[in-house]
Amino acid sequence: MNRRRLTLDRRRFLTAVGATGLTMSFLRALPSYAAGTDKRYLILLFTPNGVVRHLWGADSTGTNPGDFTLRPWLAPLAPFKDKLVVIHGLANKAANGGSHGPGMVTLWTGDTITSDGTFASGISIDQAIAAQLNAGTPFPSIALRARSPLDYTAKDPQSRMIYSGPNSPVDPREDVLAALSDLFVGIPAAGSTTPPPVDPAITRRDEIRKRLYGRLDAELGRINPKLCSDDQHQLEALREGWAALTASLGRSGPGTGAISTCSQPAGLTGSTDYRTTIKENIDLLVMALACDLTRVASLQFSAARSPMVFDWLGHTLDHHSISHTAPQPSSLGPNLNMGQSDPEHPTADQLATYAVPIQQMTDINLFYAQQVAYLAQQLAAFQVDSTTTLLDQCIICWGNELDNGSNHDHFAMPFVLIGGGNGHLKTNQLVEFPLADPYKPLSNAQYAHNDLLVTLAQAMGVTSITTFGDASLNRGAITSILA
Amino acid sequence: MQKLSHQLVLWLGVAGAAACAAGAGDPPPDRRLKNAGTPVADDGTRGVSLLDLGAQFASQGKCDTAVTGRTPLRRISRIEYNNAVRDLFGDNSHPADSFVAEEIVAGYNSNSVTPVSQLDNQQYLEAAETIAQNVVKNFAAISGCTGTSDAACSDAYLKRIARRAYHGTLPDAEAQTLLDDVHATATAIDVDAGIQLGIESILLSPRFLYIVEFGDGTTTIVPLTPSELAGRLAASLWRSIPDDALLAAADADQLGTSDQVTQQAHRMLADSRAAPMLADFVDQWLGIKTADALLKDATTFPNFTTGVRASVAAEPAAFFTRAVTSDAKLDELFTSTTTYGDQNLATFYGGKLATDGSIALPTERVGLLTEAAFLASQAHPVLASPVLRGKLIRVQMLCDPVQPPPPDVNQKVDSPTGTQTTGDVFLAHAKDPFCAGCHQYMDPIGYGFNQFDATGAFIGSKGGSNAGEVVAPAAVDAPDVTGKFNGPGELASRLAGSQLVKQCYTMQSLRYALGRSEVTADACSANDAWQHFVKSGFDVKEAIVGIVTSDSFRYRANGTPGGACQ
Repeated sequence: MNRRRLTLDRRRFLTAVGATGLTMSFLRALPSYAAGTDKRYLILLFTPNGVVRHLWGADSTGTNPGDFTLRPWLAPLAPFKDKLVVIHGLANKAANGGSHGPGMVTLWTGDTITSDGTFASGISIDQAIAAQLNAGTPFPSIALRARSPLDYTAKDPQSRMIYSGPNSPVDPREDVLAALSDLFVGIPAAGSTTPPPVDPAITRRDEIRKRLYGRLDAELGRINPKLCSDDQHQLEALREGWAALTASLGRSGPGTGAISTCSQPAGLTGSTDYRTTIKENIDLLVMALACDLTRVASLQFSAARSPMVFDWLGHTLDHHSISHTAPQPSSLGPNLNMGQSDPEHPTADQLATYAVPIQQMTDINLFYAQQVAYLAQQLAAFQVDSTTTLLDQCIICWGNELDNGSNHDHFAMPFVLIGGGNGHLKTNQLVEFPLADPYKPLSNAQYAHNDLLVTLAQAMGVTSITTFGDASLNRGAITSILA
Repeated sequence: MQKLSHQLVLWLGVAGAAACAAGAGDPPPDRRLKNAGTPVADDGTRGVSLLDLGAQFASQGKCDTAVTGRTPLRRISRIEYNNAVRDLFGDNSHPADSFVAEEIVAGYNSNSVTPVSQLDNQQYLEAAETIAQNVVKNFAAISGCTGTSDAACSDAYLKRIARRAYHGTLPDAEAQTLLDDVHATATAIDVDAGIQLGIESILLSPRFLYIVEFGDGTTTIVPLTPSELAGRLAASLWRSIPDDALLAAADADQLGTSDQVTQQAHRMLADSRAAPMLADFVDQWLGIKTADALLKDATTFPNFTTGVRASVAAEPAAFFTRAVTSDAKLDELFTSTTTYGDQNLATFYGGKLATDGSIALPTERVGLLTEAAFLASQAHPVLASPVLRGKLIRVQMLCDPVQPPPPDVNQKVDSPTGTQTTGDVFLAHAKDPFCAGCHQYMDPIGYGFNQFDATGAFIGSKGGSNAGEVVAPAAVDAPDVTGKFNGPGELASRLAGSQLVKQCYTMQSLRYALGRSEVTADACSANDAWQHFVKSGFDVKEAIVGIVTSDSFRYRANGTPGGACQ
């Protein structure tokens, strides 16, 4: 086992960002300003295996806001063009030249990793925001993953993007029916406005739970002092988990900022069919936000290096394999370090050579873009007031573990923001960061995606986060995005 | 910033061939690491070189006092949870199947690195509540007491199952607080609620969810207490909790000697509870995927139906369990001409199913390596993969880790065209000196299986030549496996006769049984286990018996309370 020895434990790390496991639980009872009228939601969205650069993103057509056209892979988002920020040219320097796993664990943490096969060495931005936000919602954050039986099951760096601290992945919920029963307690069934009656069995269960928590805490207290520090660290996580469960005792009903029509999501089947589970995860997520169950959420489609086979699109190879058959910068010149080719402008010859994989990558990524559009559409269907929809209150940040899928690049990461952050996000724009030298991305000239993570915190109203992840990669929030 | 080098562990899953080219001037990666006892892989494993080191230590008298690497606090895995509630309550509902999956440590599932997550906690809570409700509902039948109101009987019952659930150890003080809380709850709510709380407390206790050990004594290296050793034996040999016989042996101080442990291990391996452990081990050792994950392209392979996949996926466990219980030697795993399965499997192989469930294999198949589950797991949805098959054999059978390619590798993947076979396409690896630096260790072994498609079906010469080669391992000297071969049969014979394969199997058993990577301090134990395996004539089950009787299994390295763990 070469997993890096941790020098910071979870608690110290959370303290560094202004909270502890304990305050996270206790302070949730104290709604802060964020629970007031200026309500904002963050959704970190993930799709895997990188892009074919010239087909992803947007092209500038002028200097005014909105002067850009979407490239083919983002076409499904056209109805929401005025709510988009398309970002070109941010490097994931924290991935440190690694591949899928390193791209995944650094995507939302921005902490430089020094070895492949390891989990993140720091907290992810959503968890840091949730800890600071103290929104008073029933859940500090909700992490979801749409997974098919073809997908990876192991708890490993490729399948984990959310972290509560160093080496501490947050396991996403993969079962929509279990999520439904855990999250939507005391919330009216679909189509109803009346909360379900209080079940005496639940009252009894909670009485037993209360006694249980007391015992387990005492039992942990008898074991832990006898252990050495690494082992103590393990049981401390167990104690924090119990503290959070204790805090949730008796919790029922929506959050204070819920939209009046909020209910349980309708028609969930728990099917593991990939298309169905994606839709059901989105339906669940949208209702969770409409019910103000949390302000901070994440939704992961499959995993880094996704092995999904899109057979309904006529594919026989899996997504990861296809991604490596698409054109790559290094195939465009004799030496990939020489910068002799430009992934943004492939030649006609290259396009002809790679026509089939390019089309397949396009099929897959259009499918994912359609799912993102469905999420936006469902959020937009909730009217908060006469001029604002739930989408307007959201900041969806859509990312990927790679830039060019074929070559495991992290030079110009594909990021799109969708929503409005309740007026705190300047949308309808293409933001382009210069690629000073596309093959020397670690040069100082290029901006790192850490700045985007800070921008997300600022847009969510967590102004105390001014740097994030590896401090040496930060230059500050991207002010052109903030309103 | 230190740039990652040679770290693209995950690159190997690329389908099809990779005509890869390096950055100009980059040398092939040097992967020769033959220093005894030093890590040979990114995950810190030492491999078979640890056996040489152990022999060296033994000759220097360094193994005369007990020595072991540290076993970190480990949270039980899903299979252990399922088996524990089966053994405690007769609950066969496999509640842990929906739990979060484990991390993989040294190639095997083991929750010993990342801390428990919030979702884990919630799942534990909900499972405990459901199981406890069922126990309360059927309390008389499960506990043997007349009912939940028979306090004396139910107290004794709770203490009995608590000790088993806590992997053998129930301190008196813990028993007392458990019963006190059960009684208090019975008074405050009702007796059913008291039992409910008792069962939930047991299933949520850190003493159940983790293997908590302190050992006997205050020195750095201490023997496990007999009860702790009983817990470890049950966890490793049954992937479950101790039974009453094992605890009785612990209480009678009959687990103190190596011979006594051997005796218990033999009893346990002969018990039906060993079968799930054997299945768990062989599936992880061979990288066998679940029936669901063996899904292949339906257009290309219309006959590889859900039913066939299920039968195929079940074969390695059936074959291996049968081999172990019939005292098979390791070489027979490679050379057996009989397997075990159902009619689906027999039809898929073109073999005949006998009434005892055995299937005589057709001539093109022999032993583990031509099992369709193995061949299909190490393949893509359409294409077979010499890379994956070769890599699995090299890493798991030869303990010769393959370094991942460097980050700057250019991968251009093509499907076979015209009369090309998959193997033809993969030959590209061999042409490029940079790729060949690593791929020489994998692809040529995989070529030997070219006549089996992505589902593991035999396609004969349509798949091209089955000429393969085992390039000399990088990590160790092993002339007995090295050289060209023709097809799986010849490779199987060679592996069957190889000392390296036998030594590697010892190391795999060690990793699985301890749930961690081997470290230098395990050298004496690894060598002892190896000597035991040799003495048994390489009886498959004796590899793991050799581990559980070794110091690394029977002792623990304690850290300072609150201080460093080492």
